[in-house]
Amino acid sequence: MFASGLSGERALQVLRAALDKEQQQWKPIQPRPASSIQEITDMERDKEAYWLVQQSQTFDFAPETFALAISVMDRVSTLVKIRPKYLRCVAISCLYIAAKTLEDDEVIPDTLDLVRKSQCGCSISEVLRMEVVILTKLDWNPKAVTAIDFLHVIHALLMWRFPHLLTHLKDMTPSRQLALLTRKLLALLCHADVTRDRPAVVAMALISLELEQVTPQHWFTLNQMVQTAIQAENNELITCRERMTWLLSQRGLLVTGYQKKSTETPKSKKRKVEETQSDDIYDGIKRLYDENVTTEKMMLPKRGSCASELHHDVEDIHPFVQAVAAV
Amino acid sequence: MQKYEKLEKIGEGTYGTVFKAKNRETHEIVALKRVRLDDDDEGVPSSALREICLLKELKHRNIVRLHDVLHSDRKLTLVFEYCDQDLKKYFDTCNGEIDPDTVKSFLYQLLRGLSFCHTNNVLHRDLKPQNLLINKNGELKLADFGLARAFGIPVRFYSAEVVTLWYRPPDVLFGAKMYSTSIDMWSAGCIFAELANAGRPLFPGNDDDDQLKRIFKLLGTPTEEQWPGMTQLPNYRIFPMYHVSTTWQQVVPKLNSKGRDLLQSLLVCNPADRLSADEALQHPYFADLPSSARQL
Repeated sequence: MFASGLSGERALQVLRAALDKEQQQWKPIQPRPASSIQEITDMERDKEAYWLVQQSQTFDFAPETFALAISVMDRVSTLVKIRPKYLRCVAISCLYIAAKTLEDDEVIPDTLDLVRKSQCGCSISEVLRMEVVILTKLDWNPKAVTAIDFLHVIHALLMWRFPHLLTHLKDMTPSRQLALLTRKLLALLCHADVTRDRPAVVAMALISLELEQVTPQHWFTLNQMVQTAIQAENNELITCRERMTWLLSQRGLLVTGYQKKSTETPKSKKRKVEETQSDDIYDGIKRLYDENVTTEKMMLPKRGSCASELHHDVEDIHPFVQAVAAV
Repeated sequence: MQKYEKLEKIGEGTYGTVFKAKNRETHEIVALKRVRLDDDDEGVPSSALREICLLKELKHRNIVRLHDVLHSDRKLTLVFEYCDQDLKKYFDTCNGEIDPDTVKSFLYQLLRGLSFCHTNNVLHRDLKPQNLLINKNGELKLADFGLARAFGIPVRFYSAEVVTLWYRPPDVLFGAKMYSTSIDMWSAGCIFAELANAGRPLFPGNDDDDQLKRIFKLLGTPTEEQWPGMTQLPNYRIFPMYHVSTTWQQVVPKLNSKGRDLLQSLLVCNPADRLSADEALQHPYFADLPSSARQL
């Protein structure tokens, strides 16, 4: 149907706006006490985050909505001590607030549906009371920029600047890769450890780990380019990358299993990228990169072989960095 | 609500009653939008929450300013800057005559507010004269962000149940859910024509079909060639092939040729070909805009 019409300049503008918001709003979430009956622990928070991922799928919410729900929950927990017995009610209310903030009305369930389908065990009036309590605590400002927002924009910028980054890989397209990355990020957001780093660094560390697998020869250069774009310090990036390496490997999500294109049939299919699950994460990605469509304003025309192309791109990174740094 | 003294009821918004009020301390005149929270089981209306979140981020001279959000006694009150009237009421009092400079200045301010929204990733999705506020000194401000939404980088399906019928673009009338900033540009075009005709709406349709017929009768029924993808839209249906029989001079007789050119670039059926707010602001129609109007 339509081209997404997104230009690289527009994506840069979105990145700058997101970085500005992050600088104004974001505060690190400190580790919670290891055990307490007065207050939830990090483990309880993480368990609830997993529950929210499932609920977010049940109600067909976008990944942004889930990420915002988590952000609201974490911010509220820095402002009030959440007792473990109220956590479920807080969680479902955060999801409701995130949905009302970001989703269109036809996607937002009514309170009765929310309570029934989620089986949260709270009453309608409990959820509605909690909703107002949370919004008041947040000074009626639930919206925040999340790592999902940064993942989208950084990935879009990479694909814009290096349109051939994935062409040497088998069964890999920009939208499939973004869907895979989204899955990984949703899993990561369920770890309280990830909330110590700012969202832009979280998204970047994830992309950095992926670039290392996609293009071992060039990942460092690409990495530096993105790092400049999001104005990240070496140490914050390294710490975050290490944390995420550990978390992802714990869940068996670290190695994506990219396969190079070859003329021979591959003998082993063990590490074939999971296709079906991640493809359906959401429909918007494909349209962003317009893979089923002829017109794509964001992508440059194909030129040369991927290896030489990538090399060419890397040598030519300066305009991108300058464009970002200039702002 | 001790802080404000209610003066009079101004009207009913999408989700609450609007009052004119005075800040008891500063004597500042404000508009209060009041939402009752116990009317149903839905809690804080999503439209109110969206409006609060978006307006906290959109601070611009052509966008109504949200000063404060107050919550008490199961009531939510949004405190806005006060404006004298909306564009609809202005039309009622202008006696069928708006001078060309005012038309230009209002459109310029509308586009500037819109450009700011779009730069900040916000679609208004309900532009119409009732939602444009006017001050005595000629300022115009976008208001009522209850249907507005933020848009991100991946293109998503959004609701097609947006924009009041008369100002709804043909793609959305055909059920398009994958729209972007072009949705507001069509409405801006309709409002431009209405301004130029001193309040006579351009496409006052009775229902979706009538609305599309009115549009196609003026612009000509588009073909798949002119608008690739049209026939695949969810509610696409075949319309008679209307050929353009009215000239733009007949449609907007008081508008000069540059204005007509700008209007035609906004009222384009294919959303991909519609002018953006930034492009529209650069149009030669505004070349002779007085600097006093640029400063509003």
